Amino acid sequence: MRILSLNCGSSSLKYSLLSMPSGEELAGGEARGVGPPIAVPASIVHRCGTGTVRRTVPLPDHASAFARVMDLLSADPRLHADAVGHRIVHGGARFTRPVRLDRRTMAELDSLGDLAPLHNPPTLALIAACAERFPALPQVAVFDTAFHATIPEFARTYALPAALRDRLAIRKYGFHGISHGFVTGEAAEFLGRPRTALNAVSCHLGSGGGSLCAVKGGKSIDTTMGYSPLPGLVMSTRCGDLDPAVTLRLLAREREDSAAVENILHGHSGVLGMSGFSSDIRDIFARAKGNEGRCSRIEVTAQLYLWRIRRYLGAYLTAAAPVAALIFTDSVGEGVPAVREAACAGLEAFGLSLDPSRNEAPGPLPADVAADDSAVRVLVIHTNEERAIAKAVYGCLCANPNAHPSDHRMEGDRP
Amino acid sequence: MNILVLNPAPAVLGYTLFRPPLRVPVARGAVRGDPGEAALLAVRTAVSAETAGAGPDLIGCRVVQGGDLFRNAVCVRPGTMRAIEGLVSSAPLHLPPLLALLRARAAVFAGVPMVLVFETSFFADLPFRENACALNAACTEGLAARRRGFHGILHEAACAHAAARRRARGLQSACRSLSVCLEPTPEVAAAVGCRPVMTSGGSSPLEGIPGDTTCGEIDPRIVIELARANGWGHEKINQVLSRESGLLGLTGEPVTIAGIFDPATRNGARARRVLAYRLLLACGAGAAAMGGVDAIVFSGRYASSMRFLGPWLRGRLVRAMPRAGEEAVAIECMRDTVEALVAAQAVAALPAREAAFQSRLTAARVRTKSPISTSRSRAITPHFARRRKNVFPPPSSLSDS
Repeated sequence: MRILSLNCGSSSLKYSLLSMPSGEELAGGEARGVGPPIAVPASIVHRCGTGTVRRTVPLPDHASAFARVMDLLSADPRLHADAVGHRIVHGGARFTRPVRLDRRTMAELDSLGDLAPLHNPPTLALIAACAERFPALPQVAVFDTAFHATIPEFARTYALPAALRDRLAIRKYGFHGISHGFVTGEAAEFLGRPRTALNAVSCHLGSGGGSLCAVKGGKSIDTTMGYSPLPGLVMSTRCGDLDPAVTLRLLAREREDSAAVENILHGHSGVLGMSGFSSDIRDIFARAKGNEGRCSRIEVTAQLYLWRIRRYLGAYLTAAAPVAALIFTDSVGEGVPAVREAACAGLEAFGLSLDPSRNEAPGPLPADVAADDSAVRVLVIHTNEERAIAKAVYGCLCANPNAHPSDHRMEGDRP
Repeated sequence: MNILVLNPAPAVLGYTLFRPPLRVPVARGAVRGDPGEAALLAVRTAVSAETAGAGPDLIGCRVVQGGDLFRNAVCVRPGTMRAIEGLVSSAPLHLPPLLALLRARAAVFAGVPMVLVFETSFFADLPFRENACALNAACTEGLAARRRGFHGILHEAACAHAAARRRARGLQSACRSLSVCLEPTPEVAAAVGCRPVMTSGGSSPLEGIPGDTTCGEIDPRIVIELARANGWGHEKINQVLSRESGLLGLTGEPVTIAGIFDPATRNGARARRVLAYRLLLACGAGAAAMGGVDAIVFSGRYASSMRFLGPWLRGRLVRAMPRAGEEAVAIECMRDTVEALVAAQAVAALPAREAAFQSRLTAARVRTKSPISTSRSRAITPHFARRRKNVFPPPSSLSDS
């Protein structure tokens, strides 16, 4: 079965056509610059076999990006998809496993709009475009929140009045679940133990967003993101954790304009807001190198970014104890040894120590960069959300081709 | 020798009168209404019987916010009030009542030295990486966004207590303490020796661990959603997050931290699990900040809950840190009240030229026969971990002119 995985970002569309169950990638790529025209023209980087081509094409929205991608794939009869999988950021409490999309599930996903006003709409528009062009093609939704459905009630409950929690469906949902779930499985395989016997802390550190996840028995028991992808670590333009009173003071200063406050906390804070230089923490580390101790904005940004990770590491190493593995993944987690080194420094009390030379040059991934005597193994694992989506789609369609999410209602669902 | 401790808050003025050894109050109470001259007169009347009409010899005042200026207790002198006025925006509810007290003091307690003891002083040297939030500096200007902690007086004493107990066991290395302050707004701090390196507290009492009625840490987007979906303004949201959340929100009834450990409390189990888990996460973060843990020390009015929380927290921490045995992590309790600690700090903060006062106090301590001969009746001494340099100039006079 050939499954096309689609990963819809705010201005991008990643895709990968995989042959399942082998997982071999037949083609893949990324449409960049989706949306209104900007200085850098929109383009599609398409790889197939050993070749990569780049095409500059106008991509005013995700539907047109999808149409161009399908044009590229349909040129080769060996690249026709049998099913499509979509990454959906927010499934609420309602969707806790992959579901086949039909009119009914689409209506239910639409009703979650309040929970994810920024993230779900582009994907839902893409699904509609796909259904219109290929009405017979099975489509499956895979949710970033689903892996965190196992977070126990005491960890997912905010200490707010029950009426508010119920009415607005306020609870911790967590995000990056496809990635956390994928690397947890890879770690268990790497360590040669059943997934259900693995306690771990997974650090998904991307150049945009990032989160940590405490994993016990292969299941998520806590994560740094919450009701939305805003809290937790310091991210590229998101503030992460923030005293509620500060948000209230901002609200007062912005004359109760909640959209303006959201814009500040989502788009002008984090690494960019603190440094005033770049939203990519890798630029900050590069600039900070050799300028340590100067208390510049660059250095305090780097320090705060690392410290927030360290704090949560301590919290989750305790919550998921005894932990067998600490996992680093995504662009920063895989590609910046200094982040791993700083985050793990001084955690010997937790039975965790890095081998500096292994950490500096981990070699082919997955790799173990812990010292020989470290009780906690430190693994660097390449995340592959597209492959995880394809695997979930394959499992969903093989297990029950006509499955409907109403078969999977969980406790706490909204009526 | 009478030392009056004042605790000004919105619409209420708490007072406690001590005599050496300072630990057991001889009078205490609260005067309803905004602190000011009338409230101070009521306090003077209330304690006059205990002072044989002479009034207090020294006033200590607990202050929740000292900003960057007040890194130690200070005697009130000309200019103090002006400095406090500059901090009002950072604690708009708590500092105006203090200012009202300072204005009324000369009329009610003329000539009596007054010392301000700040909850934030202990955290004055908290590393930037711990006290900062990831906002654009232009956005935070005037927002008082810096994390300061709110129970510094208890934390400082608790960490000093744990360190002293460790030394008494013959262990000389700096004590890595997790200080669990169980007040209506609970707070966890981590300190190496008595130098804080982490706190769960924020720039307001809302942040951190859920309290009796405060929400604790929540996703910032929830605040935005409450404004967007309900059309609420910041004051209404603040009311909900400050007064209707926390353990009240979880159980649906007014309950304290001690109350949720009572099996009769409705929905107590859920609140207990939420609170205990949040404390555990904070302790884990503190342990990471210190590179290990030597002691968990409880303080605050609900410190008795350590019976349940102490062994559980220790067990979970030791499971995470396999190289430390349970015996390596002590569970301690610092039972002094914040009022007694304010009194002790007030005495210690008097300037050298008040040596006569100090020696009278020492003499009084020697003469005082303690009513009960337990360790709790020992004379309280100020738990100064270290002296921090005040940015605010040292006192040159004992009273506002």
